[in-house]
Amino acid sequence: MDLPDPVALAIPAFILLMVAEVLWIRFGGRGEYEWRDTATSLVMGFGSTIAGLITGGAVIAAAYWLHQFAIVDLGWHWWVFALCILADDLAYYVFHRSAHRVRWFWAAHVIHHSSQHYNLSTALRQTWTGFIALAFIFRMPLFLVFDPAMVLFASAINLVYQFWIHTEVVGRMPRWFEAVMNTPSHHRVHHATNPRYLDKNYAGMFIIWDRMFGTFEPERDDEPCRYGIVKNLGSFNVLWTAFHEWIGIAKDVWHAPTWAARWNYMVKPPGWSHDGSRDTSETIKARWAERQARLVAEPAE
Amino acid sequence: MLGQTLISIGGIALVVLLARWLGAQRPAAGLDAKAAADLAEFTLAGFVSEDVAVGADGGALVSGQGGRFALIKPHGSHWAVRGLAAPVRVTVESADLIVESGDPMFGAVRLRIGAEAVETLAARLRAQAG
Repeated sequence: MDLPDPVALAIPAFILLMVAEVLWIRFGGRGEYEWRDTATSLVMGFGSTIAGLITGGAVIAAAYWLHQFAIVDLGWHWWVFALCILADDLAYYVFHRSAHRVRWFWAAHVIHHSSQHYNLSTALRQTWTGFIALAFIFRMPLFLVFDPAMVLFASAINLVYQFWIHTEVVGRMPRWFEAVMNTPSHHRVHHATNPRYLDKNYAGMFIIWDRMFGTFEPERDDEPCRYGIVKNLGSFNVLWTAFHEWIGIAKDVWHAPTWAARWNYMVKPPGWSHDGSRDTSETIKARWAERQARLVAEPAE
Repeated sequence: MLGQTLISIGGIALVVLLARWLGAQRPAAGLDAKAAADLAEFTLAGFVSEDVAVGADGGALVSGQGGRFALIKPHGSHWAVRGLAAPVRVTVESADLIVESGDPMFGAVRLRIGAEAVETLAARLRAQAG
C-alpha cells in the first residue's frame, strides 16, 4: 500500500502554528520565545531530517529483512492500523523511558530536552545521532507483526502528534482527553527539571502507559515547570547541543579507573559516576524529599 | 525534496526572525539576591545558600555550605547555573570579578560588583581555595 509521509505533509502546518504561537504569546498569551533558542531548535530539527535521510535506508532495509520472519500476517485492515498505532506507541514508551535511564540512549535524546523554553519550536529540537544511539531497535519487534510500511506510517503519525503538545499556550484539555491522551500539560511535566517531575510522563500519544507502569505525574498549579536539563548547557552552539553528551561519555570512559566503570558510564542512568560525586535523578529526588521534610519540620521546632 | 527543503529553510528563517522581533531578548526580571539563592538551590541538589554576590550587569555567585558555589549567568532570556567546588579560579579586574566555570562552553562570568566587594569576595574565594 502506498502511504503518504505525514511528516512531510505536516511541515507547512508546523511553520504556521509556530508563527501563530509567537504572535499569540506576543499579544499576551502564556509562553515565551527567545530567538537564539528557537534558531538552535529549528536548525537541530533540520539537521535531524538530514540525518534521517542518511540513515533511514539502513533502518528500512533492516525492517524489511526482519519482516520476512513475521509471526503473523494481519493484512491491511483498519483495525490492524489501530493496533499498529497502539503497539508503536507502546514501543515509543519503552524507547523513551530507556532514553532517560540509559546514558547511551540519553546522549541522543538529551538534545530534545536541552532548551530552557517550552514552545512549539522545542518539539523540533531533535537529535542528529539517533541512529548511533540505536534508537531504532525499540521498534524492531513490531516488524515481526506488522507490515514495515504500516509501522513507519504509525511512527510518523506519533511524531506529528507530539508536535502540538510542546506548548504552554494550551492549559488543560477536557478530563476524558487528559485521562487517555498525552497532552501539553502532561508533557510540560516531562520537560521539567523540578525534582517532583523528573523522569515522569514518557508517553508519546497515549498517557495510559505512564498510568499503567507507574511513571505518571500530573502537572500541579502550585509548582510551575522549570524546563531544560539538570545541567543546562548555557550555550546556543548547535554543535555543542548535538554532541555534548557524547563528548561527556567519551571523556568519562577515557578517564574511568576500571573496565566496569567504563561500561557503566555508557549504560547507567545519566549522572552516574564511579565515585558517586554526581547527581542522578534518584539522588536529586532524595535530596529534594529531605529538604521538603526539613521545611515541614522546621516551623514546629 | 527540493521543495520541502526550501519550505523548511524559509520556515526556519521566518520563525526565527519573528521570534527575534517579537520574543524575549533578556531575562524578564533582574536577578536579586533571593532569586539567585533560590535558583542555586533549585538547580544544584542539596545546595544550601549562605551568601550571594549579584553583578550589576547580570550574573551572580552564590556561596553555599561545604565550600560549594553556584555560578549564575544570563543565558538568552533565562539563567544558566554551574556548580563549582573549591578551589574556584577567579581574576580581579578593577571593579569586576571574573569567575571561571571550568566549562569552556559555559565560559567565565564577569561580575561587576564594585571594587570593595570584589576584593572582599576574591579574598574569601582565595582563602577557601587555599
